[in-house]
Formats: sequence, structure tokens, C-alpha cells
Amino acid sequence: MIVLKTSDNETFTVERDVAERSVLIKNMLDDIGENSEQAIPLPNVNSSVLKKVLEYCEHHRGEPLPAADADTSQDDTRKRTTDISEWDQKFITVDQEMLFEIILAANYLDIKSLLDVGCKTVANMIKGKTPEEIRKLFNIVNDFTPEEEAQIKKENEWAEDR
Amino acid sequence: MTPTEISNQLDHLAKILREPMIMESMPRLQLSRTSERERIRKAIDSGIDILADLKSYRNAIASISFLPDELLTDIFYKVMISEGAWYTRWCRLILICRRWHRVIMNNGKLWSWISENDSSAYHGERVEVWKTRSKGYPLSFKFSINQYSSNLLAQNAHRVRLLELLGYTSDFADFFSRVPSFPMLENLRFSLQSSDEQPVTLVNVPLFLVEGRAPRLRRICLENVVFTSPKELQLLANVTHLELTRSIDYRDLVTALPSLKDIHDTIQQSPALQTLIIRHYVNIDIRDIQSFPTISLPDLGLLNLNMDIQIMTAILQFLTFPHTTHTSYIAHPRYDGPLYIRDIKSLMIHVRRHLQHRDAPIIRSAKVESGLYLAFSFFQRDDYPNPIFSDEDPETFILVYTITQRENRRMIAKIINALPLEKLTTLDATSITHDNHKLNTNYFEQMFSWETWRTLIRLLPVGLTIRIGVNDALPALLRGAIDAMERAPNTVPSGRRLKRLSRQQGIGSLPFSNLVLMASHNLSIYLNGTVDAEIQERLYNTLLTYLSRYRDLDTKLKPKGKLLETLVFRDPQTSHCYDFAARLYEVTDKLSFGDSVWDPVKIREQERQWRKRLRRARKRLGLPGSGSDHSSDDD
Repeated sequence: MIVLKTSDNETFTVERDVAERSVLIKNMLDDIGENSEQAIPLPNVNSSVLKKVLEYCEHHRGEPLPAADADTSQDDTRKRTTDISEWDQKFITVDQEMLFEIILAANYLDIKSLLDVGCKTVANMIKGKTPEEIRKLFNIVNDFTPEEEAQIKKENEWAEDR
Repeated sequence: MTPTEISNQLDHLAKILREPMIMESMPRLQLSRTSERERIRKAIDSGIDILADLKSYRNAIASISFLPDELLTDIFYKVMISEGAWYTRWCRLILICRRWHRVIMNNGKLWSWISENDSSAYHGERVEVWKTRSKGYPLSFKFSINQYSSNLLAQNAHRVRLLELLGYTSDFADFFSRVPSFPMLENLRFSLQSSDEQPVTLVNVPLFLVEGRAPRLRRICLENVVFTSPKELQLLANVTHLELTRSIDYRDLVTALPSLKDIHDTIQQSPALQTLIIRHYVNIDIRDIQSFPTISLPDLGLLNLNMDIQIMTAILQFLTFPHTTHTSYIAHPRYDGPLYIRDIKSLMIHVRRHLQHRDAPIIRSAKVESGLYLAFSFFQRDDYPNPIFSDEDPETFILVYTITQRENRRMIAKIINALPLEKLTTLDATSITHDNHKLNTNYFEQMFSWETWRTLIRLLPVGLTIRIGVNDALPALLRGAIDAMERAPNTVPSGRRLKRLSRQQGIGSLPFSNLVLMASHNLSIYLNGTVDAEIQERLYNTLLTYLSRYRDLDTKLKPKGKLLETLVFRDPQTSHCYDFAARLYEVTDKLSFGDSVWDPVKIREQERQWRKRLRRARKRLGLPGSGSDHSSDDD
């Protein structure tokens, strides 16, 4: 069993193969050796996020890890780009703040498959929406000056703003 | 200046401008004095900039802004691919805010997919701009074969990763003459088309392929491209994706198509194949059909064959691939004879070997389609995926050509008997017929007759959920199903599979003891916008009649009086199903509309509550007819 310590000083005891879905933790474990009982500090992840991340790792334990250099850019088929399995879809149905926290945690912990699910979810949220709808969705505003906006539109006349 | 300081300054400025005394006390300017106006104009410009900076700060604290640039890029790339990388629709993302603009402009990968598929007005200019913005990132090109694309390719061959070309045979001849090599090329797709003046004819293999000057090439698709020498096909070696297709209309190419041996030898050159798609690309010559050495493709994920059934079976004889490989077979009748049903049997032997294995995926749902053909898609997931939201490949797809209902039944028996369908829970039959406007649909016009339904349902496992539209297919299904149930108790099953099923389930349970209908909306409502009320009434009355017959049916596992377990209406498009709800409720155990269970007791209670609330509201407002709270609860 492995002990993980979050930024808010909570500890989680998990099985090694679950924790090792994270390449970061796996490398740390390799470094500190088999028998170390010290808690692994995860200063960039809080307990509520780590709980979700571990739920994902638990569900996907035993599955082959994606290759570190796997390049999905060749995968030009549309469906593979934004398709998410049913379980993952339910798992990632959370509020926006938690979604971005999960993505950041997956990036920090180096869990490629979870990062992919998170990014696909955000991509699906953006897909098909107009700029105004996207701004509203993510609570952002158009911060271009009128001149900047006119210039960008001029330089990108082919860009559709629908 | 910090955002707080900016904000304070703006507040201060606003206060000054809102103070009328200040404006009134300003000295009158001389008309010729422009410096003050200029100063104010500059102040306004500065204010606009400050406001934009403030908005940027506002964006910086939005939750999505906590994602680093590389993750935003990854998300944008996914949006681009899913919306169609060859189109420019994704470019609207640069208009969202300054940060998104900066991230997108700085990432070459996003600008690396270049095609001429957009408005031609900006075409040349756009290609140049995108090339610059791609910053040396490997390029993906999609172009017609012409002088412009030839030049473009010659200039950028060193960094082309993906190439899709469409054109005429004559343009193709010298297209690659100025390209020495493709060191980065991984993915190549050639499509030839024809016109009245330019039919598709044979082409020479490009020199870069002959001389192996595309060392990273792994994915090849030839569409209506047939080489002058079929042996040259073997130059396509060590690929992971091989797609050889011909439009069935391009008959001129038939005689020059590669033989079965050429295809065998070509596949042999690529033992790490992950995708193999062959469509009408093999010369049909009976003398070619012989035994070939087995080729093992341990990485094959998709096998898609669309051709004469004899050739298909011959290919399957020399291929071995994992039981998890997704397979798709569109089996055309053999060109030289009437042995189609026997050929289907041979094909299904391969399908059975592939799927009746412990490593094979468990089939849980299926979709059936019928027209001038009969098609089955089998999926691992519980519920057949909605094609509008997902284009998931089935585990297996089988399409055969049928003309009569008798042929349908024979094919159904051959296909269903070969497959491991013990765990099948859902059958989607919403595509079986689309037309509910015709009264007295002709026996042959109807895509599945009730006898065909009877055959199909006899072969499927018990407790099946069948999803079907409220149209003429529904009475046909119910009649066939109930007829099969009525016959079953006195019928000793024939055939190995039915005997095995009867041993497992007992005579009397065949063909099923339980049927769950998902009598969902009809496609014609979508197409025409309206339905004929009279036809709908007839259909719902027929549904009632058959459900009553189901209730009265007495078989070993379905005692008399046991009602249909569930009837669900998904996305009902007309009110008819609600009009019939009370009567349908009497002949089903559970009636639902979407996820809501229809329960008359609860509905009456809700109505009572609602009336009570209405009366109270009227009383409070002093409106007439409020009466007593207790006077008419039982109305």
C-alpha cells in the first residue's frame, strides 16, 4: 500500500497498482524504493480532487498504460478525437471548476488517459458553439480593443465567427 | 500597474466625469485650439486600452485560464479535428479573447492542416499564411491534382506528413516528378475520379514509392487507383493501414484489378497491419481461388471487406487475426452462379470461428436493417449506440443482398445461428420500415413480413428488448412474435441451435417468454412533420389487440394472464401514445414515457393536488369559483 499526502494535509492509502497509473508517482516510488513507508507529498493536488483522480485510477487499474510518446495527431478520425467511454463520461460529469482541477491534477500527476478524457470533455463543450456562446460558457469576456478585433478579423478573413 | 491600481484609476476617472460641476466649470476653449481635443482623444484611447487590460485580467481569473498553454492547445486541436480539420470553422476560436488568440497563433500544429476545401476567394493567400503560421510543423495537405498543388508539394515535400490528393488520371502522370522524396510522409490517400472526357484509367506507380523514398509511410489508401502492373501493389510494404477501394461503377478497371494472389502477397508485405479495407478491388476469376499460405495479422483492429462473396471467403481462408478485431462484411452474390445461400453459409463459418471464442467480445446489442438488403450490426455495449451521437464501429457488421422475404428468412437463420447471441439484450429495429402512411402495405413492399419476424424472434434469446417505431413494422413484429409463441409449445424444435435452446429453456419457452417493446417515434414524422391520425389510431388499436393476445397466451414459461413486462415510449412525437395510455396500462406490467413510469393512481393524486392548489390560489385572490377546499377533491 502507498500513502499519498495532499496539499491540505489529508492522507490517502491506496494500492500500488492504482497509484502507479500516475507516471509521477510511479517514478517517485522507483526512486524511493520498495520498502519506504513515508507518505508521498502531492503539493499541487487537494483532497477532493485526489479522491476523484483515485476513483478514476481504481476503475482503470490493470489497463495498459498509453505509450509515453503516443502521438494522437495521426488519428485524424473525428470519432476517436472526442469519443469518451460511458463510464468516463459519467465520471467527468462534474462542475467546471472540478473539471479543470482534474485536468490540472492529471497533468501534474502525468496520467495521460485521464488528461485525455478531461481535454476531450472541454473540446466537446466548445464544439459547435459560437464565440459568444463559448465566452458565456467559460465566463470570459471579449478583451480585444475594437482596433485589435478588426485587425484580427482582417488577418483571418476565412475565420467564421459562427 | 497592477489590476487593482487600474481599477482604482478607472473609478476615479468615472467619478470626475460624472461630476456635472467639473464639466460646467471648465474654461471655454477657442475653436482653433485642438491640443485639448487631442489630449482627450488620447485619454479615451488610453481608457480603452486600460479597459481591455482589465477585461484580460478578468479573463485571467476565469477557471479555464488556469490551464497552461499546452493544455489549451491540446483542447483546441481536439476541437479542430472533431469539427473537421480540413475546414476553417475552428478558426473562430482566435476571436474569443486575447489569450486564446495568442495561444493559437503561437502553435504551429494548429495551422498544419491545409486544404483547398474552403472559399476559393482567399485560397492562395490563406495557404501561404497557414504555411507561415505552421512554423515548420509537419504538414497535412488535401488538394486537387493540379499545377498549383504540384508546386506547393515540391516546395514542402520535406515536411509533408499527410497527403490527400483527388484528381484525374491524366493529371496524375507527372504530378510527383519534381518531388525527390517524402522523408516525413506517413499517411497517403489518392483518389481518382472520372468525367465524360476523362474516364479513370490505369496509372503508373509513383517513382517515390518504387524507390522507397517515403520511408515513414504507414497508412495508404488507394481509391479508384489501379496500377498498370498489379504486381507493383506489393511495393506498399510495412504499412499499418491499407485501404484498396474501387467504385463499383468504374467497370473499365475490372480487368486490370489485382488477382487474389496479388492481394495475398501484398498483405503479406505488411504483417503489422492494424486496418485492412478492401472494396471491389480484386479481380474475380474463379481460377484464382485456391489455397494460399496463411498470413497472421496479430495487430489487426479492423477488417472491412466489400466484394463478391467467393473472393471474400477466399481472403478469410488465408487470414488469421485476433478475436477482438472489428469486422465488416458486405457480401455480394457471386458473379457466376446462384449459390448465394451456400456461400453465406461458408462465410458464416468464418464469422462463427471469429466470434464463438472466449477472447471474443460479448455481443449485447444488435441493429437490424432491411431494404434491398439485410444487414445486422452487433455491438458489445448494452444499448445500440445512437448513430446521431456516435459512429462507433460495431464488433461485426454483416450485409447480404436479398429480394424476397423468403430469402430474408433463410439469411437470418444462417446469420443468427452462427453468432453467440446468448447475452443479447437489445435489438434495434427502428430502421426496418419507414413508411406508416400506406394502408395495407403490400407483403413484398414491407421490409419485414410477420413471417420474417417470426423466424428472427424464434432465434433470439428470451427477455429481449426490441426497439421499434410505431409504424407498420410494429403489428408485423407483434403478429410474428405471438405466432411464434403460440406455435412453440407444440413444436419440437428442429436444428441444432433450437434443440440446444429448448434443452436450456424448456419447450414452451421458445421463442421467448418476455418481450420489452420500445415503441418509439417514427422516422416519417421527422421526414414529413405530420402523421395521419387515423393511421396512428389503427396502429395503437392493433398494439392493444396484440398485447391482449399476449396476455391471454398460455405457454410453459408465460402463464395466461401474465402481461408484457415493459412498454416504453421514447421521445414520443405525437399525443396518440398518451391518448391510449390508460388502455395500454391495462395490458402491460409497466408503461413508461421516457423515464417516467405511467401510474394512474399517482396521476390522479397529482391532479387532485394541483386542483387543490389552484382553488387556494383563487381563494386568496378572491376570484369566483374558489369554493371550499374540500368540496370537490374527487372531481
